[in-house]
Amino acid sequence: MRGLISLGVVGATVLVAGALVVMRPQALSGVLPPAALSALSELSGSDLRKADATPAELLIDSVNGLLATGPIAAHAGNRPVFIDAVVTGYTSRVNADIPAEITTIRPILGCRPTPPQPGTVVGHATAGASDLALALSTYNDGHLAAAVQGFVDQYRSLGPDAPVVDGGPAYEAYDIAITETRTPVYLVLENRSGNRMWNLHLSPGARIERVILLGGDQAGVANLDPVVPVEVILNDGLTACGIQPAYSLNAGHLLLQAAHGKVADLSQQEAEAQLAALRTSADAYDVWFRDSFGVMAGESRVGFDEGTLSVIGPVPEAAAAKAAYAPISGARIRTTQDQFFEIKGQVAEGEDFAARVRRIATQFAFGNLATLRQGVDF
Amino acid sequence: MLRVLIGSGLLLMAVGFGAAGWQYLSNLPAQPAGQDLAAQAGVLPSGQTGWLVSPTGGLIPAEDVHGYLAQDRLVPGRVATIVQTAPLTDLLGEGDSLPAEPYLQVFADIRAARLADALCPALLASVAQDCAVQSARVVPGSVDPVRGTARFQIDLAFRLKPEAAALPDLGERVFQTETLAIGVTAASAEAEAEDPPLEEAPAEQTAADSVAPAPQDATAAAALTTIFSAAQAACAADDNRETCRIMSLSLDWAPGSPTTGQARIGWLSGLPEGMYPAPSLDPAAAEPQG
Repeated sequence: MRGLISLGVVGATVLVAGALVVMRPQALSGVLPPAALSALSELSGSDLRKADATPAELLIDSVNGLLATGPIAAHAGNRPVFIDAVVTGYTSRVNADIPAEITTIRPILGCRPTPPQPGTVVGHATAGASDLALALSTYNDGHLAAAVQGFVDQYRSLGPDAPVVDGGPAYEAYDIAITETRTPVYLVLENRSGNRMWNLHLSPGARIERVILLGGDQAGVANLDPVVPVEVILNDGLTACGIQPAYSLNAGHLLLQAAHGKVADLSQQEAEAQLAALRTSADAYDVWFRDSFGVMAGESRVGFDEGTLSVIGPVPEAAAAKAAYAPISGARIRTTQDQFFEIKGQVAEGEDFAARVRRIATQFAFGNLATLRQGVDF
Repeated sequence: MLRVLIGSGLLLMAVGFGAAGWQYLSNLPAQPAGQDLAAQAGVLPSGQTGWLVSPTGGLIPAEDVHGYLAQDRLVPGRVATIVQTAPLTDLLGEGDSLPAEPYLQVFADIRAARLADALCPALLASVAQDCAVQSARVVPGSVDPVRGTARFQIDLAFRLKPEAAALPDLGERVFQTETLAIGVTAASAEAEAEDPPLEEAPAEQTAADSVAPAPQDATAAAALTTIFSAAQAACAADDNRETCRIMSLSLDWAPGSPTTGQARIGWLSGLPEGMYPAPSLDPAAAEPQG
């Protein structure tokens, strides 16, 4: 009897484990809570991954773009390479890193950055979501007002149990490894949205001529020699200049799938219309990019839609030629800032984002948050 | 070791089956509407069930039954919805000033309840026995920083003042409703009557909508009183409307603009020709012997 029970238990365990490996944790999405699913997904993304996986196998061509699902970096031609092939000592644990020196910079006036010198290499990296939130945040009245509204909505339904407001919009780090050592590199670093901190890691002998930061709400650069000039055009500046960064889509993207009639939610005609508009935007952006930097944006870009590192230059053959990871902790950074700037843990009491949100909500509620509660007890 | 293996296996199975069971329970269909109407209907003469039927014998939805019958308490279906335009300065307290522009929307949302304060007294002064603010919010994106105004939506739950007459026997009456449009053009009212929303009572239970001319009121509270008065007048206009009650209303008001809105009334009337109350299911009294 005991043997039968043991056999049943072992069999059930093996079946569940096998189902997890084969069908992925998403097979249990209706059964397990999201936190448990997330933990299982992380496990399957690291420990359960095949040891002999190639970089290409870790890059997913999804409906949302190219997604890096392992320790891979974007390389020339947007091909994936293992991070440890280009950077030594790499880490994605940056959320507690505090820089040593912060210098505020401002966006340039006008729509044309200083062009690259003849003979330099233009390195063009694009960053999507990296999920490397830093302990630095910057925000304005608009962010505060939106957070107050979110807090009020929560308080109306939960009362004093409403969750504590998170911090303001954090800078998200994105790493750039510069392995090009033959000529100076003119860096064009392009962000889509949010606050971005570009963290540079140089191979021995690599030189940077100038850094251009394009796009995003706010942008900064870490571990850059203070003598190297930085020029910034943020999203609002690009919009004012009529510049709209746009690129051709990956083969698996939702719009291309819809254009081939493989998506039920989007009609073929609608998808084709959107693709035509995107191609027009991409062509226009290519023209502006070529006139500004001498290379085409679509051909020169290095960066996935989800990932943490782009490589400018060749994959080093010798270990000594790899870029050494430079932490943000203790680094010099230069960045644009919004109305308020915060370093987590270094803000006077009552002056951080969450405290400001609560104070504004309380002030608007005539000093009594309890008045926010509404509803009739039927 | 074996015990640990068995224990962990049992734990795994318990978690799996527990989660599946929880999902099963949470997916069970809700209790059928109207199942406990008799218990919830409120002040009803003894022996009455709390069921209401339409002139064609259809069952009236539970929400309407509650809205009409349950006058001893506030119910979710009996609500006055007021959408009004108001200057943001109306939200200020003593010594207060308006915040910077990015905060105007959330400021108006938090202080919207202040506008509701003037509305419940208007209801209590006319037809309502009780009134409470169910919700008061600014309409998203409605803040006009140039004019310094915003649109607000206020939902008031109310119950009517008690009536002198007792309810008649519901088993010998049918229930009907009418939506009275105030300040709406006849053409638009007809269009609405022809294409009623799905969740509303079937057309067979609803009399044709009627239209009243658009009045112009100085305040939202006055406009609310106007709508209630129009609803009361509609109730009183027909002697065949027995125990006519206001079930819900909506009002759209802006300063200097005509008042527009709708009021929904419900009443009882005698059984139509050919319809008879069902005989009692009680056992028949024993006939005297001998």
